Amino acid sequence: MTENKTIVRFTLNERIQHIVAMIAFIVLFLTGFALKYSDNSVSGWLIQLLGGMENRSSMHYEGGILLIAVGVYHILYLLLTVRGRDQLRRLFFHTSDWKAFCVSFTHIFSSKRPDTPHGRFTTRQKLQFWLVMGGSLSMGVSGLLIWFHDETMSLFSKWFWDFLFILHSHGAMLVFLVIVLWHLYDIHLREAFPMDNSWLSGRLSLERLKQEHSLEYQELMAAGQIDGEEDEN
Amino acid sequence: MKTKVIVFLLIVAPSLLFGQSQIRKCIICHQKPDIHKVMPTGIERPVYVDKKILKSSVHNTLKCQDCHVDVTSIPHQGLKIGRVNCARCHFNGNNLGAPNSPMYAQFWASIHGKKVRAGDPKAPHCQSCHGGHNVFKPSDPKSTIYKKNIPLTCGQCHKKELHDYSGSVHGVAILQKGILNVPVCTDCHGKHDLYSSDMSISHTSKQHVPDTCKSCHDNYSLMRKFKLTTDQADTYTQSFHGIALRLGEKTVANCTSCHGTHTIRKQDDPKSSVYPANIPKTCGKCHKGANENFAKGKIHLNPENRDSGLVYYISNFFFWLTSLTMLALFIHIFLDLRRKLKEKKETKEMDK
Repeated sequence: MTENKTIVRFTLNERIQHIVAMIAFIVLFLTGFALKYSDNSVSGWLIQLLGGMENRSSMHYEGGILLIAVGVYHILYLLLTVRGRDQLRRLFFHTSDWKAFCVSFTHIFSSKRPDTPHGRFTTRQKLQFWLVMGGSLSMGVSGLLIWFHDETMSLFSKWFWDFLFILHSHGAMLVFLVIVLWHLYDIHLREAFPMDNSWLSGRLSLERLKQEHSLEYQELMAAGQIDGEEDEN
Repeated sequence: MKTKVIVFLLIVAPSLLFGQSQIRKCIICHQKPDIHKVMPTGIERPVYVDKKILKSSVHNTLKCQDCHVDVTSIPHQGLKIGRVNCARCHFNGNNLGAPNSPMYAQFWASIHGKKVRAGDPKAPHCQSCHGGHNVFKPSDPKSTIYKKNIPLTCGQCHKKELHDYSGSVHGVAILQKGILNVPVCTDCHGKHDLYSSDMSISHTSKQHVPDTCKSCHDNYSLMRKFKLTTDQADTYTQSFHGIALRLGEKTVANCTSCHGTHTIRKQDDPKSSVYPANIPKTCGKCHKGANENFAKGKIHLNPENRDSGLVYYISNFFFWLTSLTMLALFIHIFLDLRRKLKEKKETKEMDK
């Protein structure tokens, strides 16, 4: 059986990046939505718990700094390290992704997920990565401009600041939906309830690698990095 | 019947006659227009009584001595005659015909009452605002506390405030145009429940100012009379300033921080603190480096209102984008979960 055989999918460095980003997102969502939905009694309670509006603001700023820091680190990691560049190359969309995307619609009511062969990252994973990266970038930039509101309004105008605020406020909801609704379900819960612990151990079983990332499995087999023989035993 | 007539003649009639004769007696001297008394400080004070006014006031059934209890003889040279104490009748729970209300007690807790208790000679007593012999109902235009007269009554002492108020949008409306639907002093500050703005219970304290303004500016039908909207109240409540103030932040702006207090003017009045050219100075009180760009755009912006222009369309776009994303994700997850559970069931059956 291959159940116990695993490969390293995420390095320790990558896992730490993921955890830091996760902490930043949790802090940002809690402190941000407490303001966005301040009419709600839970928000009022949360803000009192955090020590008032001023503390809420500074915690949101700190969460923002953390996310921007890990974001910048991640971009440098993707561009400057050998592994990073390899991962980035695999994150770009190909025509096969478009096909997979279309197939998922034609199979929307079928009882089985379409068996589209996937490489290291599935189309859904790629989409989530780019959505979270793009979302974080726009949230980070608009957040910084809102943080330095006096300078932003002096340089641009009040209406531009209003635009930024709406972008930040609504964008937060979109990022929240992508991360909490989609990513959490699709990546962390779907394959292994109550939780897929790849994000902590960094490991993925060969069985699942073969199932979900068949192209990568073949690639690794060809490179001799995993022992296909044992698979048969 | 006979006994009743006797009782009337012996007891009731003399007392009635005596009462009338008392007023008649007093008025013999006090109707002279130049009558005055000399205070211990040497200041002369007129003690003229206009009989007509007294007779038309709310106290027209009272005798002089009912209020001026320390006047025990005529003439009263050498008698120490003090200020009339209204509380002899005006206390909550009285059965003497005076209105029953908690306002009497409120006065003593108010800033004015406190100063009276502290012995401040300038502090106002009841008669300072309500008048002495000329006490009328608040609805009576002759009353010192008739809505239109209130600014002038308070302005006897608060001269600068009256001056500022007279030029404000509220002051011009009531004092010049006679529109009674605008706030006078007491509408914002309270009547007997009047406290220093530093006190949290005050209607004009930092935390309570928005509610005080909202008591009119949140009233749709009232605002429509003046071709105003209630957007100002709503948008402030939803703004960062409004949320922070509600949740206990003390340094954020409330209505008066930008619009002023007694000097509130229309936005298109060049003297207004919210006139576009004055915005940099007004915002600059808190926001360092505020310049003319602060005035480019609406301050009381309601993104759900079509008047907001571009912001309205962007906000709408995001609303639909978010809603559709949410819907799409819910459908996706629902269908996928159903599929996943089915697969699980099948593999279990196969294992069996």
